[in-house]
Amino acid sequence: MKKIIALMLVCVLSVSLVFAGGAEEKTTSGKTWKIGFARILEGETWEQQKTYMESTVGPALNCTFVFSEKIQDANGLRDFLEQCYAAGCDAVFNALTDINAITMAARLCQDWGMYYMSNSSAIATDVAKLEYNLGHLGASPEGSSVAYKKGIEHLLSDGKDHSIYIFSGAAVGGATGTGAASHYYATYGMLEAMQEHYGLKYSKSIDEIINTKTPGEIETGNPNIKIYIYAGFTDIPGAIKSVQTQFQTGPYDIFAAVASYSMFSNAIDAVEKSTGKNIKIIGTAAIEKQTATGFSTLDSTGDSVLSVGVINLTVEGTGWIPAVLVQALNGNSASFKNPDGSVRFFGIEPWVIKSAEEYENIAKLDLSPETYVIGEKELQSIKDGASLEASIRSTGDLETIFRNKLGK
Amino acid sequence: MNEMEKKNLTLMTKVRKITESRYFVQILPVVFLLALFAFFTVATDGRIAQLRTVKMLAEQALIVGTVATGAAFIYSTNNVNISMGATTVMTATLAVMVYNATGSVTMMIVFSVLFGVAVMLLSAILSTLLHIKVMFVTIVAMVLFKAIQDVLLNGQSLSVPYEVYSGLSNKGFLYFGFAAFLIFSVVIFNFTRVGRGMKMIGTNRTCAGMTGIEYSPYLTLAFAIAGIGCGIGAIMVIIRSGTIGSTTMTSLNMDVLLAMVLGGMSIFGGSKSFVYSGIIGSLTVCLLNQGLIMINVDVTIIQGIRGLLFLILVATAQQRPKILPAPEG
Repeated sequence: MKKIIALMLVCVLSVSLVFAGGAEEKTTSGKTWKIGFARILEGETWEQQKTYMESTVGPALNCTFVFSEKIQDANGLRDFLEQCYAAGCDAVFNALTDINAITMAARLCQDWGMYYMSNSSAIATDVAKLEYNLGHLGASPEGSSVAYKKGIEHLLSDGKDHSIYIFSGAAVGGATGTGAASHYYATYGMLEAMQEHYGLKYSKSIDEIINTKTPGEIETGNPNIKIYIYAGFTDIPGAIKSVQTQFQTGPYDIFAAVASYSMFSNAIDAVEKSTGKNIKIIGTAAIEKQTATGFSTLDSTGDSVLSVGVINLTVEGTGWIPAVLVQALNGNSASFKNPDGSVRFFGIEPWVIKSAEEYENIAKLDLSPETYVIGEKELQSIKDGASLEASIRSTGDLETIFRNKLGK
Repeated sequence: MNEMEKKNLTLMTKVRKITESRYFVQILPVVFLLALFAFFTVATDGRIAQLRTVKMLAEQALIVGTVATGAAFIYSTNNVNISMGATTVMTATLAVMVYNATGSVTMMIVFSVLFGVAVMLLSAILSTLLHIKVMFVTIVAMVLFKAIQDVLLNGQSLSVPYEVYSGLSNKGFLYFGFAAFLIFSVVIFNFTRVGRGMKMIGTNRTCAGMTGIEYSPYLTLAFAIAGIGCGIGAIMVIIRSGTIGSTTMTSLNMDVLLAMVLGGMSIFGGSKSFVYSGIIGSLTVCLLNQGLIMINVDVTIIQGIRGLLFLILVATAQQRPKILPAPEG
C-alpha cells in the first residue's frame, strides 16, 4: 500500500512540476534562439561578460543564454552540453580552450544537432568538417607577437640599453601544438624586437631559443644587452625565485610575462626597493580593477607598476560568437567556413596599452554599454551578413574605434 | 467483526499478497519506468523519445547501470555499499595515469578491472576481519577514496587523447562492456549456488549459516564481483569525456543508491533481490534527470526531487516481508 501511495506522490509531484515549468519563450518577431554558454571566467570579469551578454548581445541577436558554472575540464563541459541539449538549446558557445574538450564538444553538438563555436586559438582538425561546427574565434597567436613586439619597442624607445627577463610560460612547443601558441608567439615578438632594435646576433634561431626548456641567459652578441628566458608554467614559486635572483644580481631592468604579471609584482617591487632599480613590467592583463591599479599606482621608483599591458577585451571574445551562431541558425553557416566545408579560425589581436589614460579609454570599450567595442550595431551587421573578418579588423583598429565610439 | 470489515480485511490481505510477491517487485519498476517515459514524452512534445535523446540517455545510464549491477550482489546480502561511485572514479583516475605512463589501452582496461576488484576486496576484508558493518566501512572508504583522488589529481585534470577515448566509444565499449558484465552477473546471480547463497544470506544470515552458507566468503565474493563492475564503469567514465577531474561524476554514489531502490532492489536483500534492478533503476534515474531538465525544472530543484524520491522509496521499502524472522542486525 505504501508503495502505491509513494508512486502517487511522485506522479503528483511530477505533474505539478510540468505545470510549474515555463513554456518556451518566443517573441512576436520570431523565434528567440537559446544559446548555451560554457564559461571559464569567474569573479569580476565574469560579471562583466554576463552583463554584456544579457544586456547587449541577447537583445541585439534575439537570443537568450543558458550559462554554465565555471567549466574546468572536458568532463564539466560534457555535463553542461547534456544540460544544454535537455534545456533545448539551439547552439553552444564554448570558452574552454583545451583541444580535447573542444573536439569532444564539437562531436557531441553534431550528434545532438546544436551549432557550436569555441572561443579558442587552435583548430581542432579531427572535427573540422562537421556540419554543426562553426569553428574558432579567439586571441590571435600572431597578434600576440605583434602586440608584444610593439610593447617592447615602446619600452626601448628611450634610447638606452635595456636587458630583459622573459617569463615565457608554456611557449616551448607552442608552434607545434604541444605548448601554448600565444606564449610562443609573444616570446617570438619580444626577441625579434630586441634583435631589430639593438642589432643582436643570436647564436641560435629564435625558434630554437624559445624551445629550450632550461631557463638561462641567451647569447646576444652584445655584452651590454642581456636576455634571460624562463620557460615553465607549472613551477610558479620557482619562477618567482628566479626573478628575484636575476634582478638582484643581473643587469635586467625589464620584466616581460607572456601571461599575467600579477604573481611576480610583489617580488619585483621588493627588488626595486632593495636595489633602487626601476624595473618596467610588460604582461598580459584584462580590463579589471587590478590592471587599473597597476597603471595608476606608482612603485618605489616613482614609475607606474605596470608599464605595458597586452589586453584582450572580454567583449571582443564574447560578442562575435553568438552573432555567428545566430547567423548559422538563420541558415547562413557557409559564410563562416572554407569552400570545402572545413572550419576557420578568426583571430583577434590584443590591444597594447601603455598608460593609465589609454587604459581608461579602452576600458570603456569593454565596460560601458554605450561604448562597447562590439555593440548592437556591430552585432546586427553580422546578423545582416557582413564579413566577420572585416568586422573584426574594423573593430580592432584603434583610431577608427576611438573616433567612432569615444569621439576622440 | 461485521461483513464490511471482513471484506476490507480480505482485500488488504490480497493487496499485501500481491505487493509482497516477488513478481510484483520485479514488474513495478519496469512499469514505473515506462510510465515515466510516456509522461515525459507527452510533456516534452516527443523530444525525449527522439533517437538522439534515447541514445544519450542510454549512454548516461550505462555507467550507473554497470556499477549498480555490481552493487546488486552486495545489496542481495543485506548490505549497503555507499562508496561504489568513489571507488569507480578513483579507479578511473588511476587508470588514466596507467594509460599516460604506458600508452596502452589494454593495460588501462586490465588495470582498471583488477584495481576495482582489489579495492572492493579490501573493503570486504576490513568488514569481515574486523567485524565492522559494511555500511560503516564504505562510509570511510567513500571519504578516503575521494581524498586519494584529490591528492592524485593535485588540483589538475588528467586526460587521455581524444582518439583513445573516442576510439573505445566507437568500438562500442559502453554497450559491449555493459552487456558482457550483465550476462556474467545474470548467470552468477540466477544460475549458480553463489547467487543463491548470497540471496539466502540476505534473507536470513543465521539460517544460511546453519545450512553451510558462510557469510564471509560470500560477502567477499559479492564485493569482488562489484569490483569488476567498478572497473568496467571506470573505463566508461573515461570514455565519457576523456578527462578526470575533482568534479568528475561526483553524483555517482547517490545515483547508484537511487538506481538500486528505483530499480526495485530491496534494501534488505534476500530472495527479492534481482540483478536487473541496477540497469532499470539507472535508466529511471537518467530519464528522471533529463526529463525534468527538459520541462524546465531548475537543476537545484532536481537534486531535491531526487533526494525526496529516495527517501520515499526507502521508507516504503522498510516494510519487511512477514515470511521469515528478521535477520541479525
